[in-house]
Amino acid sequence: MTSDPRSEAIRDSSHTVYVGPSRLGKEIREQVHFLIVESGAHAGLRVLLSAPALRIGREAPCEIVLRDPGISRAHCRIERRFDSIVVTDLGSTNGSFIDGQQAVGTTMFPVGSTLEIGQHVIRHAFGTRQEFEESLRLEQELQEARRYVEALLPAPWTEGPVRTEWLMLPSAKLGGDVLGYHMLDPQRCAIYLVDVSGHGARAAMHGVSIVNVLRHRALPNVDFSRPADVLHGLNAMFAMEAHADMYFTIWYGIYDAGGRTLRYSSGGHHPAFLVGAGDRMQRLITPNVPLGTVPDFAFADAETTVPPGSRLYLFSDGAFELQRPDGSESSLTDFVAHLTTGRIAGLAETRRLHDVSMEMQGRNTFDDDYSILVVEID
Amino acid sequence: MEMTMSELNDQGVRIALRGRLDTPGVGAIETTFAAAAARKNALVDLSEVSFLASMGIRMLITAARGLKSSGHKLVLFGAPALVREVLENAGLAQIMPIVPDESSALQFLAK
Repeated sequence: MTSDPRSEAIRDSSHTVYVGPSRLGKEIREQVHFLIVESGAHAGLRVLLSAPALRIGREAPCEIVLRDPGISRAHCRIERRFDSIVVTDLGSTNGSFIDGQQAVGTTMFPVGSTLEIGQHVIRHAFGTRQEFEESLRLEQELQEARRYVEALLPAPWTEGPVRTEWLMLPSAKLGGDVLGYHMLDPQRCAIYLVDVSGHGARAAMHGVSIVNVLRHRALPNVDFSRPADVLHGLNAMFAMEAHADMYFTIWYGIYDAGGRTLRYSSGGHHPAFLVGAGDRMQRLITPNVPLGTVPDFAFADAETTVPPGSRLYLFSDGAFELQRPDGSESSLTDFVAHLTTGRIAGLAETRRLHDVSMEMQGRNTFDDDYSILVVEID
Repeated sequence: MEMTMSELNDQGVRIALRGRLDTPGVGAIETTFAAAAARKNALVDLSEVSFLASMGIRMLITAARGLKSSGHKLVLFGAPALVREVLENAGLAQIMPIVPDESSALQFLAK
């Protein structure tokens, strides 16, 4: 399984670091500088800047240790200069960037700005100690919600004729992407990926509702082995006017090991791709609307044969809708070219493709939710 | 993200979009766009749109649904290849007409 490394950080750290002498119990209206880690493996971490200086790096003795291969052992120093905060890069391999500009020498780190190092984006915040404490509480609640969403995602299938691996990285603390797979009977499994419009808690709650319906097969009078019927049922249940104007896209397929067939339906979703022997690739899409947008839409599905030794790729648009460093846009076609080339023995496909996306945009962090599911079929 | 509007006599309004229809781009024009594409036919020129993300699709769907409920149409035209691919994959052709150019869009309104 290629899981989100952030989930480890969530489980094994308190997510609060106080650096310097403890000031708890002092006047809560005192103004404090603090750092908020917005993305990366340690997203959600808050650090109160009460010491005159502290170092960020991959290892102790740095005061803030972030497990990130893109961060050097001692990466940068953050220190107070009168009422301001400045950043000094400590000769890191990959550099330190403030609001996208590389920090050369000692550079101002204004309130509200972001510091980007490795895969981490860190915001400089300034407010009362009470505001800091409240942001901690809110963060803890979001982490709880996130753990719930993660608990709904299936464990990878690592053995047997059908194997799965996935990667999900929400752009905010909670994302609108969900994915799943389960056996319908000993011969057939359902495989799906859902992308709710928008990001954040609202989209995540909608995604949770949808995935629970799929997991528990809770659509009235729907045969879950018939993708078009499933999309029709979901479309009726999740009309956007009844769900705060949110709609979603979905790719839903049924693999039947008996006949080696894959029956599928996509609703407003770009294709899934099936790569077989000799890297022959099939584009799997049906011309349906996004779900929730058109009442009583007649959904279509389609069927294909799965050659031995195939890989099925499902991913959200966050994997390929990227802006390159020169400002141009990458497309689905650019990303898909990497499905048939460049496999690396011993490296999970999800991880490799994540690297491909990072390389395409020249950055380690993503603006959109990022999800990939790879199913290997013997 | 930029948006310019011109009236099409009694036929509706022509709305030209320019830039990236991503989350910040949509944020910049969403309210103005929703006000412009309401209660009359709207022809939306996408020829200068370099990028269309899910938030942009959402803006178009919301406007098209609103117009349909008042008996009007939203017609998209001029989409560059990359944007056209996104529109097709998103199944938008099933919700609103997507045509190559402005004259085809005007013909569509005349139907």
